[in-house]
Amino acid sequence: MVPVILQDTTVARPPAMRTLLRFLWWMIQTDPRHSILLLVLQFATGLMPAASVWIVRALFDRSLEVYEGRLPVADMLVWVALWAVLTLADMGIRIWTRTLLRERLKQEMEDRLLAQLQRKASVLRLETFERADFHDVLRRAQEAASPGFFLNLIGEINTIITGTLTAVSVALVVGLWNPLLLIAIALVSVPPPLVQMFQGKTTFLLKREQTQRQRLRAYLERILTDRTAAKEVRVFNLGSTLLGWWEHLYWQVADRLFQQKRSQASVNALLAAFSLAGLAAGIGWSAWAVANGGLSPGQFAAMMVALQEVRTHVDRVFFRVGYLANYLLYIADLFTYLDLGPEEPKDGVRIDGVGEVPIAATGLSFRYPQAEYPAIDDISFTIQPGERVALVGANGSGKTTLVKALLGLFHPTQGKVLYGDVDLNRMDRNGLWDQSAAVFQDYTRFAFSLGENIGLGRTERMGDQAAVERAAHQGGAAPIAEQLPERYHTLLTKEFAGGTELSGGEWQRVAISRGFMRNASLIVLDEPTASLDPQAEADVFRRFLAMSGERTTIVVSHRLGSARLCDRILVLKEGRLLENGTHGELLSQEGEYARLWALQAQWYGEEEAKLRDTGE
Amino acid sequence: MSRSDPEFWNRRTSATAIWTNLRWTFVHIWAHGRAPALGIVAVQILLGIQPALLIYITQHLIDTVVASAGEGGAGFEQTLPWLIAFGAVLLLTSDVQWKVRDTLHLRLEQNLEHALGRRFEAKASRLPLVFFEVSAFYDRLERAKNPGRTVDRFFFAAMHTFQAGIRVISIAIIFTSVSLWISLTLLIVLIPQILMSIEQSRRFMSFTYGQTEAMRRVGYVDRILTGRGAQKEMRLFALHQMLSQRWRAMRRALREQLWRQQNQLVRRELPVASLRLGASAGIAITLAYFLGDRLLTPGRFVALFRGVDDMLGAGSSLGYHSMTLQNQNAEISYVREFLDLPEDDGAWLQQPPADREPTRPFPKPLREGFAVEDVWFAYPAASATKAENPRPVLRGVNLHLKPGERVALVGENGAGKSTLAKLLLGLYQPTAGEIAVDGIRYGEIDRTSLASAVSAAFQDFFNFELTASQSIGIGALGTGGSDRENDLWPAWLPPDPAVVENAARRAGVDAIAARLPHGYDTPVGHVLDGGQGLSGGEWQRLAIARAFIRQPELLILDEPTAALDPMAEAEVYRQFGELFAGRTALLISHRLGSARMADRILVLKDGRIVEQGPHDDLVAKGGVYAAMWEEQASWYQ
Repeated sequence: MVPVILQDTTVARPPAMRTLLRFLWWMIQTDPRHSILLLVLQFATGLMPAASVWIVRALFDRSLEVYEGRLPVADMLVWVALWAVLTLADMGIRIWTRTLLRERLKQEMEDRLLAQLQRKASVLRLETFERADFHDVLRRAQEAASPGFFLNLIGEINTIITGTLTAVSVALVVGLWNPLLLIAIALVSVPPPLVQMFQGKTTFLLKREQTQRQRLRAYLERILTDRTAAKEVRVFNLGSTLLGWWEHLYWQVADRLFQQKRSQASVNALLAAFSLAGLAAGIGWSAWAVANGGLSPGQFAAMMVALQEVRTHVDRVFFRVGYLANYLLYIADLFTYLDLGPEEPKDGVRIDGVGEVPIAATGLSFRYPQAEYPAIDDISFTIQPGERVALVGANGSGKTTLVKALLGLFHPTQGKVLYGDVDLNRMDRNGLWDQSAAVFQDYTRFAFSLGENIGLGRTERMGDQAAVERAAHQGGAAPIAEQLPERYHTLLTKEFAGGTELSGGEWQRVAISRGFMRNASLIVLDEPTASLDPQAEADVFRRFLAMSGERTTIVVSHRLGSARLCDRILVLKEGRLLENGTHGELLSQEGEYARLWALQAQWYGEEEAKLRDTGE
Repeated sequence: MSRSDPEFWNRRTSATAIWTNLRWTFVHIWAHGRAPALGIVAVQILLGIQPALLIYITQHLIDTVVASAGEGGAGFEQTLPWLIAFGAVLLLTSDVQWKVRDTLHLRLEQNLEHALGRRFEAKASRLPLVFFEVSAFYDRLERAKNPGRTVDRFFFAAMHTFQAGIRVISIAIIFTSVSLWISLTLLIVLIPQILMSIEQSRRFMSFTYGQTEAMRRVGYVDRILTGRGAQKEMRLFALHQMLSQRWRAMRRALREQLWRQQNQLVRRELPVASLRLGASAGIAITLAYFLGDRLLTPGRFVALFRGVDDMLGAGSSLGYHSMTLQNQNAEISYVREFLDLPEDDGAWLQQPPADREPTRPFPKPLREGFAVEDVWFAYPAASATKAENPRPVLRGVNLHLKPGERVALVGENGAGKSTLAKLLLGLYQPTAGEIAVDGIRYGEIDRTSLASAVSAAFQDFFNFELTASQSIGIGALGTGGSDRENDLWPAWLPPDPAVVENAARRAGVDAIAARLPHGYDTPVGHVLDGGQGLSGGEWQRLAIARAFIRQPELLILDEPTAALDPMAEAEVYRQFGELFAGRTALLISHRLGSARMADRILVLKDGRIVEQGPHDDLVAKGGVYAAMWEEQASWYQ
């Protein structure tokens, strides 16, 4: 399968038929035994109505004879018994297919699909996640994978198969009695497809993307009831103003929706009446045929059943085909996602001791997909083994991007990263990651226990309580554990029963402790102290420097006070490397760093005025 | 609302509760959607009697057709009236009516959404802020969301139950005309059938919607694995394998559980189904004997034979819908409880209610300033039953802010800085102690007047994703004179552009606005079409500008620069001096360098003010502040 690569144009959806075939193939592959059994049983249930029509006719013919006293009641009971057996079989098959087969198959398919989606996310290149269009594809794929969706699709396919079989088999039975009866069948079968042709256009009108007004209305509702906005709503006294605005939008949106719905409903009601007219015409024709001797009364009674069955099923089949087309669009999105590329390279040269070789960037540039300008541009420097380097610069200067490129999370658009003399592109990234510890600003708050949150730093040792506690101690999370009801086993979320939520500062210590789980030779800290108070921040830095020891360390910070503790400082501005040197060197250069330093130090320094002069 | 919540299942069942909620619902429907609701009732009645009518017409149709056999045109004329009746009943009672009902339904839903949604939002905007900050309280709001839809659904569940009831009764009446015993047998067979449907739909509710705790947990692990948020960690820490194994194991356990449930269900379904079949067969045989005794015509025989199925179908539907009615009942209770909450800090927050509506205006100009006297504050206990006593956040705070004074509030995370700010803004009521301005207690000041006298930029500010001008000027909406009539906002809405631009300039937002394609009229965020995304720092500047939009007597800046880089931060602070001129200002920060420029610094520790005075005095004193200062300054020396 050739991977689909997101381009700056939207992804075209494959034709519906191909998607359907791929889906069916995928279903059979997932669970061949149950898939085939299910299809066979669908055949059986599809034939039931035809048998039932046959029995009704026989039963009615007998009932006439019984009524006229020409036949003993007992003779008729054979047919009642036959009917009961048939119904029992039908019922049994239905229960069996519904719960035991369809449910099982659905679960198998859901499991396999979710596992595939998960695998895909883990191997896709990280920069793909930065694309705006990727999110649409992912969101749609996730919708398609949401619980029950597959059941629906299998259900749709089943309904269509059963319905078609029913209509055809009933028509066959009736046609055997008298080919002219097929006229009545035709009268009933013609309206549904015509109705669907018209309806198809109107039904999906309402499903369009929400309009701007609808979004705005919902947003105003959110502001009025949102937890974060509650302060502003009160301080700025927004209640009545926003309600007035909401009122202004409400009926505009509502009336438009209603008008759409009403015109759609009146068209649909007309069409439904048309379809019913088909049924009435079919029955009328049959009654006419009885009066003219072309049909026996028993056949008429059977026809009443037959025509209603045919109408229901033909109607359903065409209706479902409309739905199926809609479902297939989602499934197509799903397959698009599963085919997405490029993936992370699978293997490469493994380098042991990444902290013992120099790390060099030469002409390194990275441009985010769909971005106009590169986030980092032509950056070159070398980090010696065991060196502690700080990256400083304003927001948006490319610090985090540079770190991600150095770690191989982003693939450079130009230039390269060398570990010793090996190009990172040729390296085994898993090997690199295995030997490094990185704590990012936007670390993940896992809704797991405290112990697991820390232990995830090194999954092999997650169960090792001593190791977890040691890391917690080093990263400053140990005091948090003491305050929690079940210490390291406390669940850190309010989402699930029995959990507790931590504050931002506490979470940060957990994230840092997670980094301490690894005995890494390359350490990266990306502004891990932003929401800590000064005492806590100083504490973290002290611990951190103790940990880094002889290992290569990269710190991202915009607080120069902490950057200063590093051996060397790289100053970034608008994606370019501006200055590179020790704190003392950079100060004496009187460039960007000296200016930033002056700005920050003036709040703490005694000679404010002097510093401000040199800074500006 | 979570179905794993045990409260949900407790509330569901009581019959008196359903009755009270039904009455409440009907009162609201009568007030806001009488016409569509009556239309819906009429359609439901038609749909309810349809099967009985069809049985009746079918029997005559077949009998006349039998009589007409071979009679030619004259015979057909006999059957024609019944054919027409058959067509008419179909037309009046099926798909066509559904469409009519759906249209009426949308109107009813819209009416209810409007009336109740308005009440809900107004209520939410007037409740005390504490309500939003204590989870147990806020959950009540979450559970009561979309009140219009909830009421509508409840009404519909009631209507469907009603319709199924009519079906059962009308078909039973048809059978009574043959034999009372057949009717009774059918009604008795219905009982296990209904119980079965209730059981099924209960399981369906709790399982299919993935709302059990275990299912949500599996879903969570799946979201981590497939979502964007944790992908960095996933790669760096090689988490994929471990997490996907965990997912698989959880999933397997869940499947087995589901599987057992389902087998049980099938085992229970089979006897009920057999009973149903047995009853049908028995009735069919009885009918056959009636036929032999000429008590039934053949047409009637066939019609009734099929009517047995209709009856049993109506029974399942009655079970299903009465179950839905019970489930919806809990949600209606949540809505009612929320809408009935008192809006002052009444007894439900365990605080004494105000004796009368406060009416005094905020004093202008300020003469003495703000006085905080022995103020204690604790968040109200989440539930009255649990005898937990929440730890007080503030424990006897005393302070005085002189008019025009610039005061900095410093302290560690969790020391109570933001809480004190919210008390000064009048957003919280002290648990004990008083806050007064120029000798007037906050409790006596009219709320609107108090709100217009203060302004603030918060640490966890909200991003108003409107146009840049509206987002900054949210506190001054409606001051800009009239705009053109617009699809999106009423003509009176826009804020005064001069005021917005002035505030924007002072907070350094003018540079951001200059970059936007339509300046201040550009939508920011993702709600409006063509909205521009802003960075965290840019949003923060917008929040600061928002605080400057007013000319308040008290301005509070609660760590407004956390997301700004040092350059930007320094720039904002440089402007503060100018901005604060003549205004009482409270600056909360844990960067002491910025606190230093204040006239006075308050050090908050464990809910008490432990030190206060100008920077130099505090440093000289060698206390808590001096230690903090040493720590921070050492980084820059």
